[in-house]
This record gives sequence, C-alpha cells and structure tokens, in this order.
Amino acid sequence: MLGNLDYTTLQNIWWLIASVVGSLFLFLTFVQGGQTLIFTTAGNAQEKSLIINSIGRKWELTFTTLVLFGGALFAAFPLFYATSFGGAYWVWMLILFTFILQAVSFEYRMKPGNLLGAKTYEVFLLINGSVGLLLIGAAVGTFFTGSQFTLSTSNSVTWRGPLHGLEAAFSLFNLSLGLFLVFLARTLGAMYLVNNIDHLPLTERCRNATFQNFLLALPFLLVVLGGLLFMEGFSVDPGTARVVIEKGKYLNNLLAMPHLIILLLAGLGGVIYGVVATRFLNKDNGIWFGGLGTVLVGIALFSLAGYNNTAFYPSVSDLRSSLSIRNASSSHYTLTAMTYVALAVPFVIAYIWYVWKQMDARKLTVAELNGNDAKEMY
Amino acid sequence: MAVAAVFGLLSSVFVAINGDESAYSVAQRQPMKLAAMEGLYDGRTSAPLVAFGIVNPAKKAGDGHPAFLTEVKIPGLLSLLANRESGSFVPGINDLVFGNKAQNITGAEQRIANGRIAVQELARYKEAKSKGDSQEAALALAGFNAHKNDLGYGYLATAQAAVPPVATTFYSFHLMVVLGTLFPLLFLLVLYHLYKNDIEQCRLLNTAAFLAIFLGYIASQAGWVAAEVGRQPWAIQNLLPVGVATTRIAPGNVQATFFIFLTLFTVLLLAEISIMIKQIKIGPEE
Repeated sequence: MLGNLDYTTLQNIWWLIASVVGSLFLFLTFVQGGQTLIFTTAGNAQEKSLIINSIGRKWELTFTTLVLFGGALFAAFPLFYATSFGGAYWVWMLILFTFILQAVSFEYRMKPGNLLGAKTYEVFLLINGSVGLLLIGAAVGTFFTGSQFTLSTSNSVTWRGPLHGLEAAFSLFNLSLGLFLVFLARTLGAMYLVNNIDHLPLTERCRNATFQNFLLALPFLLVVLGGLLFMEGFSVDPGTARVVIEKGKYLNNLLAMPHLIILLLAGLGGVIYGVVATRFLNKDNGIWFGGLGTVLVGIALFSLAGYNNTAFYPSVSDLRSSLSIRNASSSHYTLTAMTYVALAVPFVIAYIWYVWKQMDARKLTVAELNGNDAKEMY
Repeated sequence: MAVAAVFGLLSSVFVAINGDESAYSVAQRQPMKLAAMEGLYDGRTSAPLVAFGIVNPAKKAGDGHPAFLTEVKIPGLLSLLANRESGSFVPGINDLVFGNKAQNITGAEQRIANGRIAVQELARYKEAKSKGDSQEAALALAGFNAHKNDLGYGYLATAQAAVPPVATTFYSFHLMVVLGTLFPLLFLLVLYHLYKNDIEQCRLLNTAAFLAIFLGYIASQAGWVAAEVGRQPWAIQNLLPVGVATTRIAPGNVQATFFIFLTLFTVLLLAEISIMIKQIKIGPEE
C-alpha cells in the first residue's frame, strides 16, 4: 500500500508530519510561558507553587514533542540535521543546555537540601522560558532568512562565521520570530493556567496577563508576517535543482497554496478568540482555541518554508548548498519504512489525550498543594 | 536484599546470554574489535581466552614483541565463543592488518588500496553526473561498486590506523567481564546467608554489597569504553572513519561544550547528592 507512494509524495508527507509535530511543540510551549509567568504574575510563594505544579504535570510532553520534532527531521531530512547541528552548533547547544536546566529545576526546586536554593531553579526555568524559546525562534527564522554555509561534494558542512549559529539571533526577522514565540508562550501559558487552576486572585491576574502578553507579541508578529509578505526567498527549479533568489517568494507561495491563507487566518483568529474569551468573556477554555490556532499558524509557516519548490534551509553564501525537502530527505526506502511506523502515531496521541484528561479531571487548588500528596508536589 | 539478589541473579543469566550473543556478533562483524578485546595479534585455530593479562605497551602490529608481559589463558575458549565451533580460526590483529592468504583474510593494506579506488571512482561518478555524462558515470559506478565494501579504508593513512587502542580495549573489556562474573557470586552468597538467616552478622558481605552498587556503574561504563574504543577508527564499520565523519568545527568549541557540560552536570550532581542525603536523614515515613 504505502510502498507504492512515489518519492515526492513521501517527501511531502514527511515535511507535513515534521510541521505538525513542530507546531504541536509551539502550542505546548505554554509550559515555557508558565515558567516565566512565575516572575510576573504570581503574587506569592503559594501562587508560584500553583503555577509550577500546574505546568509541572505537562513539561515532559513539551520536551518529548521537541525531541520528536528533532527526531522526525533527523530521520526524514538527515542532511538538514547534519548541516544545521554541525554548523549552527552553538544555537542548538545553548537550546540544549537551557532544556537540561529546565528538566531538573522542576524536580529540585522545593526539595530540602537542593544546594542552590529555590530561587536559582526558578531563574533556570526563566532562562529556558525566555532565552531557550528565543533561540528556537531564531533558529527556525533561518528557514526563511538563510544561513552562511557551504556543503562539500561529500555533504560535509563548513560554517562561514565565527558564531556558529548564534548569528541567527542578530537578524531583525529571526529575533522578532524568537520574541514572538516568547510572548506567545506567555499568552498560552496564562490561558492554560486559567483553565487548569482554581484559585481566584491568580486566575484573574492570568486573564490580564493573557491580554497583555498578546499585545506584547503583536508587534513581533507583524514584523514576521510583514517580512514574509515582502522578503526575498529561495526558489528551487524543479527541473535543474538550481536555487535562485526570488522576489516576494513567500507571498508567491501563499498565492500558489491558497489553503495556507485559510490556515493562517483561521489560526490567527483562533488565538485572538482565545485571548478575547479568556480576558473579556471570562471563559476558561481559551487555551484550546489559542492552542489550536497556534498549531494552524505553525503548519502554515512550515509549509511556506518547505513547499512549492522552496529551499527550507537556504545558504546565503552558496546558493547551491541550499537544502530543500527534495535534496535533504532520506531515501525512498527509509521514508516508506518510516511511514509505516508513523501509522502508530495516532495511538500515541490518543494515549496522551487520555492521560491528559486524567490529569486535568479536576482543577489544581491550594488544598491539593497542602494535602496528602504534598510530598509529591514540585 | 532478597529481592535484589534474586533479581540480580536472573539479570546475570540474561547478561550472560546477551554477552555471548554480542561476542559472536562482534566476531562476525567487527573482528578487529574482538582481536583488540583479547589482545590477539597472531590469529590461530583453537584460540585461547585471556583470563588475566598485562598488555605489553611497546607492542605494535607486525613487530616481534610479545603481546603480553604476563597472561593466564583458557585454551580454546575464544574460538568456541567467537565462532561457536571449537578449534575454529580466530583472526588476530596481524592477520587483519597484513592479510592471511591461508585463511582467506584480506588485510587492511589491501583494503586501503581498494578503498582509494572506491573514493576515486565515487568522485569520478559525481563529476560525470554533474556534467551529464551518463556513459562515464556508469563506468565509474561499476568501478565503485566493485570496491565499495572497502570505501572507508580509502580514507586511512596507514594500515596501522585500522587498529584500535589495544590496551584500553583489552582492560575495559576484561574489567567488565571480571565484574560481571563477580556479581552473580555475590548474589549467591547473599541468598545463602539470607537462607541461613544470619545476613545481619555478615559485616564484610554487607559492605561488599554496598560497594557493588558502584561496581555496577563501573562495569557498565567499562563495557561502553570497550565497545566504543574497540570500534575505532570506524563511525560506520569499514565505510566511514570517525576522522571523516566529524563536524568541521574548531576544537575550542568542542572543548568549551565539554567544560560547560562538566560544570553543569557536576553542580547538578552535587545538588542531587545533597537532596538524597537530606532525604536519607529525614528517613522513611512512619
């Protein structure tokens, strides 16, 4: 059945799978957003603990989704993985370090004898929620703005620049995408906490934070969207595989794939409705609209970067080295085998959904923090 | 302790089965690694297993020095473990470097010559492809296919470069095996004293059992060292040497990464130990 799919179709499918997983990760960054909200929105130590225990039940999902995103790209587009991780080395290493800090901070923060004190672990969480996300945004931004590298005939990467990937953060577009992700995560985080916590003064402040952080995210979103509409892009000739710079490439992609316009608008609409519902309509379910909206926007962005004969990892110093889903993918055989495995993914998602339902059957309260399970709390 | 000892004993059985399977697989696919693990330079039939040995640090492939300063051997066992056939031939480092016609083994010297042809033909193929010369490309591809199993050797400077660090591989492998043999004996001893109901009087045994926690980590790490050092110089056996597979990045970057990891993980380990000690002091809930 799947063995009959042609190579191009499989490449398209795998770019879509990677896009969906990456977009789910963006939704799940409400955890990172929550990690920074403990500094701005929690009124006291008890509220901090409420926030950390609320998102603490979900952080592994975000983390594993990020790993899955990287894994999908590694398996389906190994040349991209090798090029980016070997070349844009420091941006990925720093992202990794912030996630190492995050993982232990949840566990250690309130444990007696934790050596560094609760405050330090909270700062670790802040670093992951701000610097970590900003760098992820900057790295994804290079899908559009390009990087400086060359590939040898044996596909070995040479990075043209001493910063090895950190230079990504010094472009207005990339930086804006990074900051947009940071404030979007805070918006989603605040919406999630409203949904997940039953503690009135805190949820009221979270409702305000939802709106404020959305306003803060807006200008960066405008820079990103405006940039996409007007910037040059990297176009691949399907016949000769030659890469050329094309004026208004991403606008052309939007017009060539009008369903992406619908995805983008529906996604933005979802996020806006989520914010409005949380802040002005006093509803608790805004996170689901915001979350779904984020996923739709993410899929639209990744599709713009990869489909319609576009180089998704362009090299500005050597156009010929640019990577597209055609020249960076695994072999026909590997993609076919992976597609069979991917058939199991819906079952994994169903399981996650089930566990999530169980965890969130009741809202988190102060009583629970101090109850019989107090020792199990973060 | 009863649970731990029974579980440990069962695990030891599985580890033994798994180890036997691994040894066989290494012998078939990575004969150089096996030779290094056993410090075997001259291949032979009915090859012995070295139970204990001190590797001669001056020894190199092809010279006349003895491989060991001192050694204790179990006759014929290596042939049995490696090929599941007593008396069978197990190739040594010298056979794999210089070749052994009688046993039909192509040495690294010959494979380097083959590999260089494969590397050249691959380059020729790519060039012909980029020029659109399909006839030349087909010729180059045929030449490549004839030598492709030795591709990785084409990147090695000398035949000696195909030999992994023998002493490190040998010692780490033997450390793992010795510890792996010790553990089931310890478990049996613990079970015996549990049965006799005098385990609390066996101070020495209790201390040994406690230390065995850390010996377990050491055995596990030693196994990794044997596996990874023993596989040198290959990232992909016979096809891609690590020197070609590495990222082109200045060593300073990698050193910096290493020290960041070292600092971060050391601090977090100290925090972990501190938390554990605190929890042990607090003790179990009444």
